[in-house]
Amino acid sequence: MNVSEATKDGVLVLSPAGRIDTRTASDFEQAVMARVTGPDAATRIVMNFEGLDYINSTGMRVLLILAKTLSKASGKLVLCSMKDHIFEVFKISGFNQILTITPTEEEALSRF
Amino acid sequence: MASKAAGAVSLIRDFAADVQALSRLVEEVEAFAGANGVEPGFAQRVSLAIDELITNIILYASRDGGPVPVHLEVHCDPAEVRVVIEHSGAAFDPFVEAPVPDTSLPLTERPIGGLGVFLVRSLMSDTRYERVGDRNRVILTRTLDG
Repeated sequence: MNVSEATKDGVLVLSPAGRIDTRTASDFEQAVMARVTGPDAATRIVMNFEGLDYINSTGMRVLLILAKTLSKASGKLVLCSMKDHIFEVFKISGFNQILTITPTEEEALSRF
Repeated sequence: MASKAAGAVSLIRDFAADVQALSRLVEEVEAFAGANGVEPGFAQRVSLAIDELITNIILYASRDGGPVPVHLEVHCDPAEVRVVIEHSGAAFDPFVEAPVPDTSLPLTERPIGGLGVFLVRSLMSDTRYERVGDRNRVILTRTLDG
């Protein structure tokens, strides 16, 4: 698991790749939360899941923390490019109701 | 170790459960199921369910912080995948004792965590718990017909 980042139209795009599981969730949490704390904290974030093959509940927990953090900071989180089997788990969990999920990164960026 | 018996193919593992071992095992189960005719969507559901339950064992059943010995069986046949997970320790029926999350709550009210056992129930066709001597045994079944 690694997280690459880019800035597009003033929006921070984070792209985790590989597998977010119980072994790697803490690395994911550190990488993500470092970008939303401190003086340079980002408040507008797209999370591109194109390269993500697997996520379990420990990784979904991090997304919930991130979404709550951005919500409190009057910011915004949009997820995109999620594989079907991951989207299924998000639907079961009701995450598709509380998080914005778009099919493509272009569409995600258009939500800001 | 994969063995054939009565039309089923089985993967049986006894291992010290820590996050490294679990990470490898989940990928192994997914590959094993896939190699034995289980469609990717079902193989992923089964491996995620195993991941969630053994994650809970690692997080909550470790008495001295060390790895917990876990016994895992995955039996694949054309009709279903059956999973057995056993470990010793205090009796704990996850399907009774884990609180059921309210997935309709808005973001600000959603509690952090507590999704694992709920996912297992949702992804599997049947979930059962048995107390056998001093051991906890969970049996999961995923039928493969839709």
